[in-house]
Amino acid sequence: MHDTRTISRTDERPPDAAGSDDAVAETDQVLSPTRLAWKSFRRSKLGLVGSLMVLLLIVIAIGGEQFSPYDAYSMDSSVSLEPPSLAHPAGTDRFGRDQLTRLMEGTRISMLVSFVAVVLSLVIGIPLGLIAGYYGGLAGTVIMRGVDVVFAFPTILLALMLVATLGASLPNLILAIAVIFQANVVRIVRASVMSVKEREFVEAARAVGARDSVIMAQFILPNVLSPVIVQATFHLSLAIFIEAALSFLGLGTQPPTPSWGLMLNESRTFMEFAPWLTIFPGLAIIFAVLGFNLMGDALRDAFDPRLSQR
Amino acid sequence: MLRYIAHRLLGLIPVLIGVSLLVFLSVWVIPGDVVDIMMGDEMAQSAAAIERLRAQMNLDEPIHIRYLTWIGNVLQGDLGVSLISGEPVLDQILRRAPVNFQLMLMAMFFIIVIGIPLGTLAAYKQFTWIDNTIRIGAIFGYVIPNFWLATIAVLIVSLYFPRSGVLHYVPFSEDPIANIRGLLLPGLVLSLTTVTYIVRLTRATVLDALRQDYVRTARAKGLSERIVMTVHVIPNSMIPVATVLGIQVGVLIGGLVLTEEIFMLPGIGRMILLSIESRDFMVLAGSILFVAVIFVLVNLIIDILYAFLDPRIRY
Amino acid sequence: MNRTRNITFPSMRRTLGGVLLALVLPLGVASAQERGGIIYVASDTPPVGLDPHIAIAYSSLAAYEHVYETLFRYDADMNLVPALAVSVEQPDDVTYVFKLREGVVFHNGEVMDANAVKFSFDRILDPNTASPRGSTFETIESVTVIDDYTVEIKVKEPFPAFLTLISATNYAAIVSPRAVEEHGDLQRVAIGTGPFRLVKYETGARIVYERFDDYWDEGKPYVDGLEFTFTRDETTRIAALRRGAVQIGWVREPRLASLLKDEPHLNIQQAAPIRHQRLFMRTDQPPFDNVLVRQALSVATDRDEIIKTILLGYGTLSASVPPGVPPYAVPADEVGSLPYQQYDPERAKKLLAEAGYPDGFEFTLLSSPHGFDYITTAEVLQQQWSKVGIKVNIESVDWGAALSRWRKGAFTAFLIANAWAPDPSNYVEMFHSQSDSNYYGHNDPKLDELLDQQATVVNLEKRTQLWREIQAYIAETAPALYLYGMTPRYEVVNVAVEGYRFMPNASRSYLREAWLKK
Repeated sequence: MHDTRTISRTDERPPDAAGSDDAVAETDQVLSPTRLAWKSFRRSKLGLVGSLMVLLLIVIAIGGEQFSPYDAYSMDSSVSLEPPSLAHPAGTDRFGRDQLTRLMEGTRISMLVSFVAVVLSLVIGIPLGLIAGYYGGLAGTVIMRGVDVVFAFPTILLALMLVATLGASLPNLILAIAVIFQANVVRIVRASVMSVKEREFVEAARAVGARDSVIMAQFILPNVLSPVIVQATFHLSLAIFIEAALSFLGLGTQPPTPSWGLMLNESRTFMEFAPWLTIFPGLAIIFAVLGFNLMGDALRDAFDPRLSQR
Repeated sequence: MLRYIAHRLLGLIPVLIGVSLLVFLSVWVIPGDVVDIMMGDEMAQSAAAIERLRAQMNLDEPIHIRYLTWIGNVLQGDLGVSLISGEPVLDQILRRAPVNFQLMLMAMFFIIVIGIPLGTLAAYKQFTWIDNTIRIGAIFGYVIPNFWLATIAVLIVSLYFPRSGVLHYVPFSEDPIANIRGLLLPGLVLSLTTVTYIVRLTRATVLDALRQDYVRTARAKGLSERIVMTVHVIPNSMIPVATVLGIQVGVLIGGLVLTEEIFMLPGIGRMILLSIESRDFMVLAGSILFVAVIFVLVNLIIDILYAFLDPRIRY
Repeated sequence: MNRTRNITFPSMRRTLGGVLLALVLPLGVASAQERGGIIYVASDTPPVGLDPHIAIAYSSLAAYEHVYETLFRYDADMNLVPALAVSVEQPDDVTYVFKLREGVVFHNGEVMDANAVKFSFDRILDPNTASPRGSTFETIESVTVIDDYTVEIKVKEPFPAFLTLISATNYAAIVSPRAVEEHGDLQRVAIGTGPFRLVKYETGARIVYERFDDYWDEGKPYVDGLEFTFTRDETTRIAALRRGAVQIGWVREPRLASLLKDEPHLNIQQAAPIRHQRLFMRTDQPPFDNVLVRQALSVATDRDEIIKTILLGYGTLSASVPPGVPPYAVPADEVGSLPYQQYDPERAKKLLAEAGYPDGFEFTLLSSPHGFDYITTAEVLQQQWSKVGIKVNIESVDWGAALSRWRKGAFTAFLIANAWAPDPSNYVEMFHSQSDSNYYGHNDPKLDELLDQQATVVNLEKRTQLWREIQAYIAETAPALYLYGMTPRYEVVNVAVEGYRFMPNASRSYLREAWLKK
């Protein structure tokens, strides 16, 4: 994790010597692969745990401060740097703000960043991938060269550079993450399209004169979606990580918004005097990343049953 | 094979052009410039003088001219000089790169000596408590953000072992032992994510190998388990692990920025952060380009090696 | 010579004595100084260039102040004392005759004489140098070499701040003509007459200084060298101080300094409250073109609450000249009685209604998380002003972007603390309608007149009187809001370092007097 490349590369050619192209080919045999996958996903206990964790995060993100007697922003100097107690289960920061409440606010930011960035990456990446895979040609070449450029940078570094360029702010951060993710989406979609488009049923459709848009929507897209969904789930956790990392460096979410990474950044000054300020935001990040990862693992196993036997 | 290599090398050209354009343009449209930073929050200053300073530093030339000048020099191996100190960017990179190189070696060392044995052990003891512990540990190790782990490591050391010297970076030339001591913890933290990945991977490939016919045959012949493992299983399961190790070099490069920042190591990652902060665009463009080129080359070498090892890939 | 006494920068002891003397080691009881050793210093921001005539930012000053010297300099109580000049005479209000110290050499062996002094001033004034100080000293009419060690400087009109200004190293450092000739500019080299030679500058990471053996002040400095490292992260500096890896390092946040007080091997010194937090507004654009709105904002601000919540009490009220600049500044305990400084939300609402905003208004406040107290102060303001119907959107951008937008005037309201400046006029001159740094579109003929007037009043008492008037007028017309004053830095010093004093203006130039106890 922590770099899209790990995932994408292994998806392209997993080290156990089975290309994902074969995997895609195998999933659409006999019955509806999606339903099969869903059945398998439901059987996975870890997947269930992961889904529940994600659900909890979403509830906190929506409900936010309503669960807390405190306000995430209002300061109270009389309780500056209080260690965890019954009144403040995660302690208070230097300005006497309740950290648990701020972590809840931070959940909203993390969820917002990850979901919006991933959706945006799909909106950009799927059409580009379809074009590159289905038509190829000059457009395809241009698209793939652009993707190559994105892949020429370590993820964090590219995110850092883009955010610095656009100006550090939440929307720009989301945009930067989406730009990076879409490259991955394009690659996956293109690979899947290329493996599907020569298959008999596509040839048949083409032979009876179906239009390209119909072929894409009816035959190709459904077959492309499963690897994309799996990848998107991993992207959700990666987005949380990138947001936290950049905010930690001061180049992501800007104060006063309490994002987890920013809280970690601010905690460093008082680390030795108030370690709870460092510990809890980290636990929150771990919780979220773990939730999405468990979900992603289960989804991947469901769509590619051969892997789950191990 | 040669055709494949040539094909990949040619493919690099447009990518590198794209990379250099992206780096340069991104860097120069960052809001604010080095003159703003030089004047700081000083109140009394003359706007005219500031403009003249910009002109002196060629900051007012059109961007395409600056790009062409820059890329022309870069192609001749000249990355320019720092807008702030006048120190050649390449000197700075070469001064800092050894830190990164050492750190990568350190991380690789941990990945190999921790990741592979643990993965093999888990596979060998599949479905026992040892396997389960390792697998759960690997899941957690995988999701712990390494910058947080680094912060916690710094916290623990500074609270309980403030005088141990593990947080104090010393150049290798000054004191090799202190140097290695200062890089142990950063290397370990940097390696963590990859270690857990390698554990999972090794476990999977070893399990795969254990199921192969030749292993069954070897066992049937009555060979001892130790010989079966060391002669048949482990060597055969290491090829995919080795390739992924290569890929992980790229991942490690990405992790350097945060690791250096937290452990205050004078590497290229901090150089990038500092130059963003001080708007030293020559240093920033040069250092990002350097990292990107290294990254691209590493990936290329891995791909070629992979093609070499895996006969199914032919172009 | 005697004339100097009258225009000497007045002592700070009067107002700050109690605080400062309680914090620092008394200089008088010094045992015999020991020689040798290197002092390791942890700093925060690396210098952005080394040319003292160009890179005027504090981070650069902090790096070259050990290398360059000025004609006069400040002692630890901010009195002017001779440095490269041994005396100054003023035959009339517009003429200064400096007698230079003999036997001073630059680090490159060149002799410091009248030519070097003239060269330095000419270089500042030369448009091609692009020195930001060019306009500061534009009233200099001529710099004339009388003989090898005598220089005469004529100004166009009386310039009371002159000696104070030229004593600051980032205003009028004396540079080596030969070094300029050899290197073109001085951004990457530092060749002065100061107590330390710069031997190594690793961009952004480390600066190494060595004792200058031919330093004119015989016997000084006592240590063999200095080594500065740069870490933005306060925790890292503190950790290094605690384990003794560095002997000197500063922290900026009062809460942190208060936590370090109990460490037995660390002493804490602090600079004077020369830093104040300010909210600037575009006073030529609605809504802040209306003075009633600005006044409403001022009385809607509970400054005591800000000091309590953000500074946890480690701050004072401040007028437009920060309290650490006596005697001109309105003392902190009198600021509350200036107009529109008392918190009064009802009055704010009335003023708003009168200004035509009975339901309040909305605006964007630009700032940067550059210091711990920028965005957080903005947050408190946001809450306080919401009570009178004013909605504030905080826009937070990084430091470089913030500075850029500030200089372009691309903001409605901007929150920024100040750097130290030698003369009170430096804190306020940007409101002059003719000022180059008036990014606020402020145009107030009466303020212009007051500012013009103070610039030429030489008599200290009269000038102080005038300055009190200016501060009251600024409080009333509120071209900017002044929120609090505080010390910019706390210097944490290992007990092994003796003879060192952190200057009230947060300068470390007393490292030349420091020695290490073995």
